[in-house]
Amino acid sequence: MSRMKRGYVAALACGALTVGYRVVAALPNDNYVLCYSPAFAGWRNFLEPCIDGVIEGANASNCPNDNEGNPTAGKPEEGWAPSFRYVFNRGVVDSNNQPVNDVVLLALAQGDANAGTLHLDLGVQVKNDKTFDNEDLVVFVFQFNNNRFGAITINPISRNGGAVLPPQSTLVGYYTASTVGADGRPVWGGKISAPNFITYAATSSGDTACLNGTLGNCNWNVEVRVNLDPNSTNSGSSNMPLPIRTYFAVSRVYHIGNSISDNATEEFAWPPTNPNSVEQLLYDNVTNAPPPEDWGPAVVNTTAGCKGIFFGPQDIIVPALQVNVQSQLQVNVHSSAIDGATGNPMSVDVQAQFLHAPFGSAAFGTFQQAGLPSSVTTVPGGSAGTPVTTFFTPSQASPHECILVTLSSTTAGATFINSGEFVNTAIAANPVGTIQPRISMVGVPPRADGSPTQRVVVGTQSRMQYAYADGGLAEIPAATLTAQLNWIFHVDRDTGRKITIVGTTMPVLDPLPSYGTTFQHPLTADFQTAFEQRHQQVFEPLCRRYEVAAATTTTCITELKARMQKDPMVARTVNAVLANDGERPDLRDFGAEVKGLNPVPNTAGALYTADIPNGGQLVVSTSANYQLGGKCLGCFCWFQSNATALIVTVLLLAVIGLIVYWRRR
Amino acid sequence: MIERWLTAVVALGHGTGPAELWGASLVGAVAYAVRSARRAGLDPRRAYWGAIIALAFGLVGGRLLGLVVYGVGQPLSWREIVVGGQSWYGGLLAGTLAALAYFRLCGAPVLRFADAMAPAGALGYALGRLGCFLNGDDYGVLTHGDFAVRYPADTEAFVAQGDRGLIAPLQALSLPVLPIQLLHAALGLALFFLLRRPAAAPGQRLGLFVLGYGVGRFLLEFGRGDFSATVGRLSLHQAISLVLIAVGLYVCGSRVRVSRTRRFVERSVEPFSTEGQMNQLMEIWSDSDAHQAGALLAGSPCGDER
Repeated sequence: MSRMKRGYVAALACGALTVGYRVVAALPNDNYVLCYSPAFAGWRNFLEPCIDGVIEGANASNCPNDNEGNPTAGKPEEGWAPSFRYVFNRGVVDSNNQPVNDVVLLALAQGDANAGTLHLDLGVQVKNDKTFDNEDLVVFVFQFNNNRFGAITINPISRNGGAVLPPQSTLVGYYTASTVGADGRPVWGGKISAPNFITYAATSSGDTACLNGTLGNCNWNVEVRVNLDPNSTNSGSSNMPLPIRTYFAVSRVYHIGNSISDNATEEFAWPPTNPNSVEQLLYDNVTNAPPPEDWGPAVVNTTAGCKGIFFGPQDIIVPALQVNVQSQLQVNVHSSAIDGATGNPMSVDVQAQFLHAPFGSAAFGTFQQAGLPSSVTTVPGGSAGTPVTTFFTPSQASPHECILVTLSSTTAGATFINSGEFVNTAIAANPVGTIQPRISMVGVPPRADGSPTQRVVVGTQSRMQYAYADGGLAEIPAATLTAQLNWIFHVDRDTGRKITIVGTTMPVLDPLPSYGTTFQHPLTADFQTAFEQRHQQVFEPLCRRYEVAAATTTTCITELKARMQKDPMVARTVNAVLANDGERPDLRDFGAEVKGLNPVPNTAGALYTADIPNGGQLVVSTSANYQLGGKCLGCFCWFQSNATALIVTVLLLAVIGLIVYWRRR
Repeated sequence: MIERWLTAVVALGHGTGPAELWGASLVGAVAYAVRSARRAGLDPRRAYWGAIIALAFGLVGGRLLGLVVYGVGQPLSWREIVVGGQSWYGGLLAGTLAALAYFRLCGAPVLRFADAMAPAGALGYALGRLGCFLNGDDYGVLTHGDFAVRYPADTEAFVAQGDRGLIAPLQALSLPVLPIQLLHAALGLALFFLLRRPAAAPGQRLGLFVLGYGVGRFLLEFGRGDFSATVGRLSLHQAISLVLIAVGLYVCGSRVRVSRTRRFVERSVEPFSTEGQMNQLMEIWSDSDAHQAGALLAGSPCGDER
């Protein structure tokens, strides 16, 4: 089936579903959860979304460092990469296999409630509009408790000029409500102009037809920041309280006649299955907002209860990359996505964009595209890990990379609990493995004290286990038992600021992305056989799990290993069990070395520091080696430390004997 | 400051230093045993072979007890049996018994040879313990004091702390521990200088060595970081030390009696005027069975030294 045919069928299916939604009886919308996803620690060093109205495209002049990226490279804005994402799409892709979206809703929670800095970042991408109109509208409606409500309306576009620049406060309205009417809807008060807790900006792009009244290809974006205060009175002057339910709508206005004032609007509302369809239409006020029971629950700063597509660092599979050798990058995409109307599992077409940066602790600004975007892959609802892949040929000296993955979708109603994640782990197969991670200060804000250098603190964490190779390394056949060392480095940056807690003043550290590596060394066949015999009780449950029909434990293990050779996931599952096994590689068999970092005294080497110039980077050559039966314990371990000394000793003893006999004569 | 210096010394000498010191301890002990025997008027060839036999059996005994103390891997390999670490007590006991048996089988004056070789054993012990210090085995307890040392990652001290979760694996250095090996070495040196004094009676040096080492080792065990109560509240080495102390007390006690007898004889019997003749008499009295046995051992390993 051609791409066009696929898009057509998808559009038909989407339309049929949409019609179906309209006739479904009224349902509560708890199946839709708007996740103001937290920016997890690894992302904290990445800049927050810059409220400049640019979500994709060239950097805006007032935010030179927000890395909004190059649209031709498919690079999203740094701050939005980890966000909740909801896609209004009609199930089609363009000739470049890129999704043709109508509206994309982005949401993110940032800051610390305890510090009074918690805020919501909301992004709206409106695409494929036909005209710019004064009536184009974005509405966010919030419920704070049973009888407290707030709403934000923004009209960001001028008919003759696209986005209004600079943003004008008169285009932003805030409404409050403290009572509920007989129809269950909030009784809204008057418009409060430009509350201080709202920051917004908008941009637009399009051809001349967008401005002259004919139909063109028009796009516009809105970014909003809303400062929160859990104890707020919702007066319109103090910060906004934390929402418990949310309603969102975009009116995409265009001309349906010859007159520029002959307008109509397309409505994109979230939750999208509001049964009171007529009441979804919102123009320049909020009085027609549906009753709160039709809004979706809002989850702030957590992903608990969220439904949608998600993945984590562990789902990004990166082989041992080699320079100028094509490798397959893979992300296993999970899904708890459901059809909001029925609550049934929902399939989502997903496309992954892979980015890479030098291995180590890198800021977002150093990432570049890694290979072409993946092909569109259908992730079934309830999927425990659907692989989405692309090919990448590293060209730089360091074969280990930090890989960032962002997801997008062509499926209408696709919800992403998180749409971006990165992994920093490299795998080395050799007995002596060396990695060259870089701790980069590119794009990192300078210290508060104006120092020309940045001080980083590196904490280490390691774990050893026996593990089966999953076939990802050419040097080690799948199902080969290996001694495995996982070594993780957590990097913090000294901000130069200090904080006093309970009378103690201490520096404030900013977590940078961590990096890690896994060393694997294949073990001898004898050891492997003995290990498996000692662990029969460990393997038997795994055989039952994989329904291995085996008469004996030996055949069970043999069959299980045969499956490992075919399916890497089997090997990983077995390794997850072995991770908790009491028998682990002997610490004496591993040796390690870290160069470029200074051990912090009296921390037993658990912490290191380094000073790096602003904007510079530090290569931390890190190596580990493995030798089975490495160091012997106790005195007189001759062969381990110096066999030559043993030989010399024997010779000297013989010389003493000769002297004794010689002197006797 | 001391911790920094000791840690630097370990860092510099950790690679090849231990084996060199262990070799020096063996060579030094054998050389001093031969020299000491010669000075005592004993046959140096017999002393040499006695020392060699003591070393050979000592290494075997040390490894056997090492298997008990350090445990064995899975699966146990011949390589591990042969090249693994030693336990000093196993070596001391096996080596001493083997040497005594050799001298006895040869009909040599056992106690006089033992006296001549006791300081050599103490000297070898001191040098060997310096090797242990560089190697990071037989390490001391954790300490906050300045008399401390920190070991690199491939040492027993480091591994033990990692196993106990005190440090994360693959760190650069261990936590500071008491350099107990240096105290062991000091014990060896003290015994060496103590035992260089002439013996009042044959076997007195041996008794003092056994007693002194037993007492010192018993006390120093409390400073060991790998202390493990295996015999009641005592470690295996402390239990052995108690046996050694008892043996040492017995030997020293019996030698005191011999010494008193000797003084009585010296005052009473005029013809035995030289020290050599007196020692021979004392040897005959205290070791008459060995002498008679030695006379019967024609064709023994001692050859013409019989």
